[in-house]
Amino acid sequence: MTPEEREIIGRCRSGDMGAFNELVKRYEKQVYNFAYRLTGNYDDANDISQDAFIRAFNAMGSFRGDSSFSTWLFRITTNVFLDERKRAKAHPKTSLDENLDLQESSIARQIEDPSPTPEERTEQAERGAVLKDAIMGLSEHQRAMVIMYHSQQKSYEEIAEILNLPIGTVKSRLNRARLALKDKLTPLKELFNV
Amino acid sequence: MTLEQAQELYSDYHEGALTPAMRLAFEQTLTANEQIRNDYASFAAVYAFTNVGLSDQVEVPIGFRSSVLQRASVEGSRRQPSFGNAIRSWFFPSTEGASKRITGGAVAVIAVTIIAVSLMHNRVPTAGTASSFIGPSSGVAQPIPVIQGVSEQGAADGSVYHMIHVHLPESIAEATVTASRVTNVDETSNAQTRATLSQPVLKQPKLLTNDEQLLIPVAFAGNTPDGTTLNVYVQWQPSAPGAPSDSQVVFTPAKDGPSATVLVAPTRGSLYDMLQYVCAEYGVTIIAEPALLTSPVNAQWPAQTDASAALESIIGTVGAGIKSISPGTYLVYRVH
Repeated sequence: MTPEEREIIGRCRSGDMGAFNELVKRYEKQVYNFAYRLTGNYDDANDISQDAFIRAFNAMGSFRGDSSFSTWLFRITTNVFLDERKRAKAHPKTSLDENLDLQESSIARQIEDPSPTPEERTEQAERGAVLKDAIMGLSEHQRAMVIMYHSQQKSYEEIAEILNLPIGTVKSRLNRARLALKDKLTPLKELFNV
Repeated sequence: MTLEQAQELYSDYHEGALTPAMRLAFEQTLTANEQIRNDYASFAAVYAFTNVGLSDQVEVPIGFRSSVLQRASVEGSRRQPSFGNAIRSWFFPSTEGASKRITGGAVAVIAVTIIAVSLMHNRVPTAGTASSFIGPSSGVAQPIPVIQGVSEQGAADGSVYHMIHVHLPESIAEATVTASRVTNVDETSNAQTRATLSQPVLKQPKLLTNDEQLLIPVAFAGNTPDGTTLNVYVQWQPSAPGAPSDSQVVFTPAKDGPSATVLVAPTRGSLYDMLQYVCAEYGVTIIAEPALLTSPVNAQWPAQTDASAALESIIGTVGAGIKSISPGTYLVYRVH
């Protein structure tokens, strides 16, 4: 953690909203993207990442600086996600956010160019959807690890710190997660030249 | 080495983390065992595919930070009564005219209603976003961009949309919004022409309150000629009895970024024509008051210029000002 970040956190602890704004600004993209990959949709990502920042805000006094702020924030985000999943499993409900709610889109489509999407775009979207489905099929913990490593470029050491696990456990679980992805994706190898 | 034993080593081998002895043993297995060789090849391909597939970053939705800060201020105010003032002073920190007009109640307005959130490429202004005047502004009330910008957004079905952001000013509690795509200046200045020729982009008029943000989606035009712009006329009729309606026009590139080919710069025409050209040539979004658009302009384009300089060169003769409301988005307004 840089001295500057330490100073910002110190100001944040004393209720300086400008300092909190600075922290949110620094990490919002990482946290939102992490949450988006975990949940697979924008609305849930919005809720998870907002809740994570609020939880961090409320717990700022307990942040001791033993780990980096980023590690601490990712740990909080992961916990918010896992708590949310637990709650969702305990109280299942019909998801309304499978499709982006573009209320006026039907008329907009009629107005604008209705020609087919270019092939590349379709293929790219298809590949993205296939990967997303495969990742969403992993357990929550495996998914979090895969996303931290492959999307957020966290090292094994950082992931171990975030999840409070031995590094060997992280490595072996990630290897298993990748094997699971391989099993899911290999039958679709035409899509990405496996 | 069995397949299961080999699989335990895949990641370490792929990342070069095996000891030399283990690596040698693993490679000998790969050479000798076709099943493991094929299995590892699939693993390596999926590893690479995962890296690439997860490398795209989505943009944080508009209003995200404002919402977080607003929630934090509520949390903070439970602990400290003066927290509301702290957040208000952050949101409206300077001595700009706008900050004086905004009351405590306006903090709630910051929590924009996101009707749809997704891949945001062009940042649109939000509360707290700095803006700057480029053209003449002395003695002029700050113009309010009701159209706040245009972003691009992906839908669940893979389609991409231009999203036109509309947000009523604090002075209008509620209004009915209509919007239509226009293709020439007559459609912006003549209601009858607009009703006949322009294409509505809202299925039906939308009742909007000033604590919401309306995102109007227009499907992304994939195969339009280079230099094409999307021009949308947005009108709002306040619900308050007797309140006059008002409108703005937004010009935005129909495709991403500036034109790839050199466009012919018009030297004479309406301001509408000039703004459409600047929009296409520089890949910027321009919001303008319709009343200005019919003004004739004799353009003398400066050489080696950028969007703001190009805009400056044409607004002087029509009594307009320019305000940069976010990177790549300009408001052209009347100087009274």
